[in-house]
Amino acid sequence: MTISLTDTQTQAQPTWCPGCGDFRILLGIKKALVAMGKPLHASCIISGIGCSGKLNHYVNTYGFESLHGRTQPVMTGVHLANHKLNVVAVGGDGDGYGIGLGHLMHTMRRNMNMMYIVHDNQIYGLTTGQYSPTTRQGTKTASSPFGSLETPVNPVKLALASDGISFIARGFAGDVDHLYKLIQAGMEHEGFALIDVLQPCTTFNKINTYDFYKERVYKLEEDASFDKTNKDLAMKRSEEWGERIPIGIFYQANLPLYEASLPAIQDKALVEHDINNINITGLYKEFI
Amino acid sequence: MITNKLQWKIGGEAGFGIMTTGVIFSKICTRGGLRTFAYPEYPSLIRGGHNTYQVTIDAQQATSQIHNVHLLVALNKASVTAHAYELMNGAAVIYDPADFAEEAPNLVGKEIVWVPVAMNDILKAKGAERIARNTIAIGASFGLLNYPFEYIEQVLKDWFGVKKPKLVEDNLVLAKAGYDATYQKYANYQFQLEPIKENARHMVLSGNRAIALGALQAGMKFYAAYPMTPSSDILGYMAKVERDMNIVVKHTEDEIAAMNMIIGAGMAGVRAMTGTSGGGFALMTEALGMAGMAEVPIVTVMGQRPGPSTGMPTWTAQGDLRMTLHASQGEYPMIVLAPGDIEECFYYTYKAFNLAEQYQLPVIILVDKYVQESWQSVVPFDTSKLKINRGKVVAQAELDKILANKEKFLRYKLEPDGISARSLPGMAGGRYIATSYEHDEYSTTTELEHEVTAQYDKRFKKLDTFLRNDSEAPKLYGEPNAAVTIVGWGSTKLTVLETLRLAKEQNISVNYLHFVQIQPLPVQAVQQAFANAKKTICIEGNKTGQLEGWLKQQADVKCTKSLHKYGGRPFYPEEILEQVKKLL
Repeated sequence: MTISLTDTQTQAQPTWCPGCGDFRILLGIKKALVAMGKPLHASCIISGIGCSGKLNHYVNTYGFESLHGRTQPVMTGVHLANHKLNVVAVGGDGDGYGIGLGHLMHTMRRNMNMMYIVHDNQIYGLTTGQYSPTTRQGTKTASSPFGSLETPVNPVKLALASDGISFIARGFAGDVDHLYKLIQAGMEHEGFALIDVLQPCTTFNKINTYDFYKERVYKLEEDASFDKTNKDLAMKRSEEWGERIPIGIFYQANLPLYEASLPAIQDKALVEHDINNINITGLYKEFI
Repeated sequence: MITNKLQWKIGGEAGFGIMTTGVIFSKICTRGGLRTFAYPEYPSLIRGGHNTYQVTIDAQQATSQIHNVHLLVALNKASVTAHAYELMNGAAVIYDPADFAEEAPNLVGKEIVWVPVAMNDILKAKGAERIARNTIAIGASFGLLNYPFEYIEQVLKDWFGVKKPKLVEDNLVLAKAGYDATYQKYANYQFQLEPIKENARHMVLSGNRAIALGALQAGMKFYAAYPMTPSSDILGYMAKVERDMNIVVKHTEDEIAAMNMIIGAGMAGVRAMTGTSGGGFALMTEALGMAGMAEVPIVTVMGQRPGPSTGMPTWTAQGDLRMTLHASQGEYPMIVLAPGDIEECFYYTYKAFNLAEQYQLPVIILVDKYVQESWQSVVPFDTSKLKINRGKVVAQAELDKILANKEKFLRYKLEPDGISARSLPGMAGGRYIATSYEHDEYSTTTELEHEVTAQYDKRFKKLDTFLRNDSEAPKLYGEPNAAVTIVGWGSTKLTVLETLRLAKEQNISVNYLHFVQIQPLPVQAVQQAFANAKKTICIEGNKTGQLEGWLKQQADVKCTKSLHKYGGRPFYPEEILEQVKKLL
């Protein structure tokens, strides 16, 4: 079955600011869906709350616009109910690395066959510009007028430290061609894929702009000395942030899937089980 | 001689298998056709502290612990001192003289049949471990009660046989040693148990296990939870039967994850449940409202224990009714059911799954430690009349038509009954966004007042439809025109039914109005029931009269009197009857 970009459209109108990185990520997701060629109704996009939370309304797949910070467990529930779907979550840096960080750590540990795209703009946009978990230390924002005090979260390093996740990448919203291929690779990867996307917020983040990134990003796959199957190398590159910022796949491995150890879903998805003829009387024995 | 009407109690240190011993004791009685109700008390620790397990035995029906103890097994001295006030005249105490001397505990003025059994010596002689004292105690108890040894043998064989045959042999020897130490040696003890062969065989089951069985029978395929007393056992049991029943069980990182996971699964078309207590439920409430808004069917077991905050983890209370009714921000429809005994735990959990999908909303099973962790003998559940109802799920053929006409599927269509058909991810043409945000019929975000109001009303219409088609009036137990009507909800039923039997013996005219369906409240039925009642007394395990206030607010009915208890203990039939008498 072939699908076109037009098929992915919905009638809902994006409410993002002009030039927002979210438009590019949306396009990246759509292009990846087209490239993958799976029927759109076989995909389900889970979002949280924030600017990114609106994204699934603009893609013609099933979706769940859930709560701030809860994309990971909602996605896990959808996936365990029907692991034949292509399940993708999107969320912002506040959603994923702030309020939802606890869930993210445990979801990474499980390595289920799902994907999570983080729109990382290093700021809270929808609430009008407070500092986020990935904001560089010392940045002045609405909630840090004297400069933010914490060391920022390093998503790639954190993911590597989980020891469970099998696909870790960073994309850049300013390079959609590169981004959609990353997203497609993540969707096609057997295991949990995290893609942290550098996403300029044109309204509230005047530091991490398109130009800021364009001057700095380089592609890991173009560096012959890098090997994405080598965790030590990935760890080293995860610390690189300054003059040069790496994008691409940091780490990819073949790790056991959580769902491979669930006998109930080896033949059928849970949703395909017939529940009309269940007989529990076999369980009575231990109570008599 | 009094036959088949007594209460047995065992007390000792935590960590020495008292709970298991209690279940085994119940089963041995039940094997002989007797009816049992077992109530454990334990502190929140693993070793040390004082544990008790008490079993009331009756020829026809047992639904509550009672005050009087007729046979006490005291595995330490503290068990006698702590429970001296419960021992009635003529009660027996089985104890080991090596632990303490019979004169030591203060039981002035009571005639006690002291039954020394050298349990520690028997252990030594047989080279058994300390935990096996319980088996000797069981043997000694049934020997004293003149009950045939064959039932002990049957149950111990089944209990230990699964794990290790060697354990069966060892335990049978110990049980027999205990049995022989007391059998026909105490002519002055006036209580005995006698098998009733014509009685149908019962199961011995806790509320938690009954809830689990009800969910499994209803086709629950996904259970996600974080351990919290008193609901942890549901998680443990589900995990134990995960493979046999072909389900997926997830012990999550926290309760927020558990609730959000079952909502994801519910949206994707799988019957899913979580179980928790007040603290965990507090964490779940934001997502609960999302299930209300996105109209996702889910079932939640909310097991109350005393609060506020950590409160007393291993004790019972009914203090979370209002919290449950008002959980989450905003207003949305949900159904709250409070099953009152082990059978109701099974049947209402089953029903909850149908209701959740028929009405596309959260259904809460509101229980408490008392019903969840008490073990009652019940008739094996009859599943022949149970029927799965999955509500309005759009057929693929219907979606194909919509696709062919280039129309859009309206997930949140404004239907007269408030219930729109839902599609499941994976169905061609059924695309929509389940959303926590206010939305239009198609599921697109909206903030237009007329659309918002229409969706709000649509969601609440589901409750009107429920009230018309599936609502249950509060049930009246006992004679219809009694002088006093006891009003209660949930597990209070257990004790009140025993109260009614006690009242009958004393010729007191009282009946019981039992509430399971608390939200939505069947207002007319409530008003009718109150119009029929003479004097009413509302009994609740909380301080502020949460049901009483709810009835007044919703149905404008008032109770004559109320009885509240909030010290962690369940009601006792004797204390309820005492209050009823004051109304006569």
